[in-house]
Amino acid sequence: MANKKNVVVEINPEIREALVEMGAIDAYKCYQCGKCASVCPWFQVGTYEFLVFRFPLETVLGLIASSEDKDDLAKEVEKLYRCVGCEACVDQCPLGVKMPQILRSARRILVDFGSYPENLKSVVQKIRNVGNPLGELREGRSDWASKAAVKSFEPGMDLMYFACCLPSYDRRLQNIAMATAGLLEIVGVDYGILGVKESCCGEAIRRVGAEKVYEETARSNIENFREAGVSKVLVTSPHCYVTFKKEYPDLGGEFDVIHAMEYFWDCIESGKLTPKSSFQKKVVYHDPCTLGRQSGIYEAPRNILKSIPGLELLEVEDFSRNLSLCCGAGSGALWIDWEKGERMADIRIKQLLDTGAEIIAVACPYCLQMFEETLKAMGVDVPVMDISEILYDSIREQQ
Amino acid sequence: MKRIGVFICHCGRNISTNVDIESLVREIAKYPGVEHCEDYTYMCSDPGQVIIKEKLKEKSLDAIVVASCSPLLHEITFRRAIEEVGLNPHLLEMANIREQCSWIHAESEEATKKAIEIIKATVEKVKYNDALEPAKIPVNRRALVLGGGIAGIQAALDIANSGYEVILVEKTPSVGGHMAQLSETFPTLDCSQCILTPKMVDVSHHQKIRLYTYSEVEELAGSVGNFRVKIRKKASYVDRKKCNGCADCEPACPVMMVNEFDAGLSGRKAIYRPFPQAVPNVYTIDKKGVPPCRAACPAGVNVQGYVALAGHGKFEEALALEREDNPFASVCGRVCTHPCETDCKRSEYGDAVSIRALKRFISDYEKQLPEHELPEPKKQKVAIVGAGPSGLSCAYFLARRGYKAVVFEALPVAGGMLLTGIPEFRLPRNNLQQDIEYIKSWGVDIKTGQKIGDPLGLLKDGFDAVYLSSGAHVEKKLGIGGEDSKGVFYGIDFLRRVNLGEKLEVGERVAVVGGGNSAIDAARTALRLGAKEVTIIYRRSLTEMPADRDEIEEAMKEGIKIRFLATPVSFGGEAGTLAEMTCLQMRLGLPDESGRRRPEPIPGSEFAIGVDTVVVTIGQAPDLSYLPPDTEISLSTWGSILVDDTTKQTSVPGIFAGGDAVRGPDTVIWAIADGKEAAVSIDRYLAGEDMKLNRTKPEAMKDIVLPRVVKDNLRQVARTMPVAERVGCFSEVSLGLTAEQAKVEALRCFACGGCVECHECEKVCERDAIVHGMRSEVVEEEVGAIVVATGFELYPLSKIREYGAGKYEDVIDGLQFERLLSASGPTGGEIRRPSDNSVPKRIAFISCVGSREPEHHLPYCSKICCMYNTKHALLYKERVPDGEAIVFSIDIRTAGKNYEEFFMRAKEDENVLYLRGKPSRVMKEGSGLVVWTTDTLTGRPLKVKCDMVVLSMAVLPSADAIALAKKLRIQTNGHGFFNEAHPKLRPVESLVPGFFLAGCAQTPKDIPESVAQASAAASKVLEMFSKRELTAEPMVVVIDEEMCSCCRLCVVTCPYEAREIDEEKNIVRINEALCMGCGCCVAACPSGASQQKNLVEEQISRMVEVILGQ
Repeated sequence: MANKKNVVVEINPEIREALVEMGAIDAYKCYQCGKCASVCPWFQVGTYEFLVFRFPLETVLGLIASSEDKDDLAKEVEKLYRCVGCEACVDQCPLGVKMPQILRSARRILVDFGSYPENLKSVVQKIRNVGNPLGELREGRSDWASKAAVKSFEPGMDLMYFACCLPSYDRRLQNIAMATAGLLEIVGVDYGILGVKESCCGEAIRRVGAEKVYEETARSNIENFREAGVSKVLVTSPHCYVTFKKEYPDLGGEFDVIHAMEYFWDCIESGKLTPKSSFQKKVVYHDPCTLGRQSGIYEAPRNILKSIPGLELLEVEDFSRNLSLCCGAGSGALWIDWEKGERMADIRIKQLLDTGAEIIAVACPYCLQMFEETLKAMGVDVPVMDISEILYDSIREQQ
Repeated sequence: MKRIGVFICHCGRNISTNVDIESLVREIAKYPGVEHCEDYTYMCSDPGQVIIKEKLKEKSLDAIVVASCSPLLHEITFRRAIEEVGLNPHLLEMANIREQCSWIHAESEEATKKAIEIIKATVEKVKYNDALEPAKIPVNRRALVLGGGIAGIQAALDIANSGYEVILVEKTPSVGGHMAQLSETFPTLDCSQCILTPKMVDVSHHQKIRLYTYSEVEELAGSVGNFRVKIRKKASYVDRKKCNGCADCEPACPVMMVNEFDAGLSGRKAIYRPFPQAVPNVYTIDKKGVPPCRAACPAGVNVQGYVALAGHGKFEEALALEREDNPFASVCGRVCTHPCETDCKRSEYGDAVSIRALKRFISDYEKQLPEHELPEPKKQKVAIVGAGPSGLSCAYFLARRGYKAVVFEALPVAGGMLLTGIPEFRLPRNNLQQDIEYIKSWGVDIKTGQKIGDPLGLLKDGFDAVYLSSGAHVEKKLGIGGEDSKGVFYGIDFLRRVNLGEKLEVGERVAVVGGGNSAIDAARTALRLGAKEVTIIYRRSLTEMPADRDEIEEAMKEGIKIRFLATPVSFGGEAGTLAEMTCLQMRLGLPDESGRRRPEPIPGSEFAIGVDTVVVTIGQAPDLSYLPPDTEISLSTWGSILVDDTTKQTSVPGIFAGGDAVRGPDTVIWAIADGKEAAVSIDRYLAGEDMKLNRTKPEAMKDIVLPRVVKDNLRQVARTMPVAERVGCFSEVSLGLTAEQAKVEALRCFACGGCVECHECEKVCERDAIVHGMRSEVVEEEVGAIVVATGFELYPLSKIREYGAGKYEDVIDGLQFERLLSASGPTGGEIRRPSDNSVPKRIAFISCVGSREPEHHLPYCSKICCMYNTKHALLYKERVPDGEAIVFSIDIRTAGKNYEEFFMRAKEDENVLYLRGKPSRVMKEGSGLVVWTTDTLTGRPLKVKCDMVVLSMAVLPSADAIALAKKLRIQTNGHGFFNEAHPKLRPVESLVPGFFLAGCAQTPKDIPESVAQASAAASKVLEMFSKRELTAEPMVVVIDEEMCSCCRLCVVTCPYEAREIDEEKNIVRINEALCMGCGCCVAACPSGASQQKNLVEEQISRMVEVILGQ
């Protein structure tokens, strides 16, 4: 970015220091090998609008958001919000540069100045006001649970189930929460939900750059969890998982966090759940970035699928596990509409369908929503299911 | 009382800035014992030293303290100075007021106070210092060079050419190292072998060099000047004096292994010479250990051996080898449960080698029984009860040892359960007969139709030993209602009757209860007897089903249904005739003691199925009714014979037992194994030898060398009889492999264990050089200095997953490309793709693979890669002028004479394309590959199609460097590169005296640097050898004999083994030549008997007191 159009620029130490202060310290490490750019999902999309390897150098030169030209700045904002936080680059970086953190520090400055996409502003507002990105009423958060007769969490219970905002409100995604509740019922564990006392985990808005709102939201969750006597939290969304597990401790929130995939696989191994009714389908599993690369959980979802009789598990050659391609919904991108031809989900769906799968299995509500919408737009009738749903189907029928 | 002089140095402004020198001098001058105190700007300078010398004489000083920098810098300087004027150098001490004081204190007052304390403490120390004389150590002027690569060769030649003896130890069979693998060398493009081979020959012919190839250092003792080294000469199984490298053995050997010299791009035989120019020019047999297949076989059959011979088309030899361990080739080739295939290393990469089918093939290939000489007959006779597989095996192995073996069989025919329990469509009678005839050909006498009474009677009847192998023929019952209905059969009885020719009639609807092979056999037999609908009822699921997968599959193909998770609870029907069977549905609970999940009934889940015939096959127990009720032979509570696990002997000496009579129903191969083991015991029993000695079963080897890329070549499948023809027909279902299939299948073997001891090489070696019984040997040598030149290896390709290494054949490493370029390589120097032998038209060379990647791999730069991939690109362009070479790199580092020019030549003359950026992926695209990268200079994402990818892998020290460092007690860095004493001033010496470093063992470097460093190391050795004696630091430890209680704590503590025990006086003594004065023993000694000279306890406590202001 030029300070002005078409002029030689100067190094801007002020911007550099501000970015470093906000977490872009890794920018100094980078040796510009560019490996990140070709593992970046945007490489597969086929654009070179977003050359991720340039950000560290632009950071140390202090060129980020330095332009005084409005159009330039607008273009740059658009660019900075392309990062979906999938961490494919972090996974492959020879030096371990945390690129999304560099991007996040830039976004924090944009948020501070109010120069960020309108859609995201609205999401941040909604989370601040009602604790969820959909703008739904706080009181409605436990509506799904009353249908499934889920108890409210009480001190002394073994487990608090945190369903994530999307499965709590979205009619389609509520089925994931219900399946999870159904499975917990069969396991016989004593659990409950916090309902109206829950707010969004805050992961997405933190990655959007809204650090202050994230902190407020997170602190309110931590306080409510503590007040209720929660020690163990079961989550459906890997986004809640990484946030509770890796980020809440910085704010003093130390809880025992477990993802539904790990929990249910444990239950299968110990004989508490036995998948039985045959599921004669070819299923391809999509590794959600946040569950796979970012949490290292690759085996549990696969093991669950493999334990279901008749199910044939397929893999996307070259692009599974840590090399999985992002659905395109991370770091706030769920609320940004990319032009046709610029959507990662289109490419990922093609990879998934090319395996010959009859069902696409995921373990993240974001991925599920992205894929269903994409398939609908494509007019392809292949169901996308959360693994909890598949597992529940295979066990429920035997009961 | 000593007269002490203190000399304080300003060190320019280094000390004087923070330390108030004036008050320091004033204060110290007053201190008791200090006769003189003086300061100077640079005490280490000539004028400074003059001051010390003059004052020493003038004031008759007899101890000196210099307060200045660290003693590491100038202790020697000042000690020499006082020595010149006649004072013992050990009467000088340095007080470090620079590094430990002025440099680390900002405040002058504090620093001055600390300086005063440091100097006072040092004065206290020097008060008690003795005048010490250095010890003289004689030097053994012979050198040991470890590693026979270019660095080791150069160092050895330099030392030897100076007239000193050199011991050169190389772990592989030839000297030459990696340089011998290279084609040309940068930047001059000399032929690597051409410049190296003369040196290799020089080494082997040099009068002063003793060459130990295929040898490794086992142990090192002693210290500088006098090392004692134990060298293990590994067994090469070829007499190195007799072998003349004629290569006749090579084609005879059937075992194909990975060729390390071609970096895995080709194969070599188990008997091999690394390359034609190898020095010495002799063959070596590669025996790696017991392969997993053989270790898994209960009878220890030489599986890899007969597989290798079969792959070589030596089918008769293969069968002969198999029969050395198991006479039932034809039987086991059909019905063995093949534990060998389960453990086959290949099964981790797809399907196991089809070992059983190969065994069947070699037995089917036999047209007539082979002739063989009978052994010298022994006079003892052994009786065997039961002519099943166990009894016949025992008889066979006894007969091969010369004993008279007589087998008594109650039935009119021999074969036991093989005959009565296994249907003909799986094991035709003539094939069983083939094995029995073979056993009889060794003189085994089988008496059928003879039931034996008390086995002890046999001992009285002139037999010297007895083996009981009467099998398990008593059927288990379900114990449920209606089991006595007409139409309910039991598996073994059912099969026996059919197998012995009875025309049994079955109903239209047959159910078989059970999940073992007998259940499947019974079901398939029922089908052939005319049943319309056959269902197997099994209480667990498919995963837990013990029957063979192949058999289950064949049964299902024939239309047999399997109902899992069900168990019968009653039979029903009218007038005692079966009509239906009621079952319960089961579910799987937690695993039981067998590890399988326990079936639990689901209450209320009863269901009925209509049946006309049921065959119950749920197991058998031994039938020991022939034993007298009061037999002396101990039995188990469930009615089997108890034997010793190892010897197979029963409670009665001379009576042995095995097979199902001991185990209950088990597999054929275990029955055979028991017979074989019992034969060994009986042989020893009759010879009066220890039956238990060395009977442990060998463990499977680990560290299996895999092919470079494991191709998923599928296993050969035998043809089978069409399903439609099977009903009503008892002909064999499997038709076996063809000869072509057998050869292909055998070559899928990884040859894990190397040499299979088939002795084919022995048959062709005219010089009788093969010695299979050779053992490794340890020789001891004494040397004075050691050069470590153990070289490097490349970072393993398998660790670089994102570039498809180990997955795609055409992704190779630099050394492999070197072999493709080499005239002695697998393609004779033509650039060909490993996958299809085509000439690649575009090659991607990727730099920094594994290097400069601290996050996932190695943090350091491997230094040589930029240059060698430039060389590769250039040579490729010369060989394939219309080809395109693309180098992907982050930086190009060309620091070296003519290196930049070489790089420019590649760019300008050969138009090699350099792209800046590290690729992220290499994937398959069509028949080629595609590299994903970003050109960071234009900012363009690129997908570069190419035909081949060459990875410049990082350089690692050789794998055993760290273990070697421990043996030698010298230091390495975190990666295993040997540490030099000083990175700038002592780059070829180790910190431990007597050790010198050369080549890539120290850090990655190219050939010119390795050679230079080797010569440098040699010159340091020669410097040492220029003296007859070395002087040792006299600050060693002394033992106070009065106080020493000989507790030996110091002996275990001492890292230099500088301790000896004086048994007579019961005290510990110090070997002063070995003691390095480290002081570990001083700390360890509980009585204070160990004291270091000039650092005794009194000195230390005085210093501490002064510093604490006491």
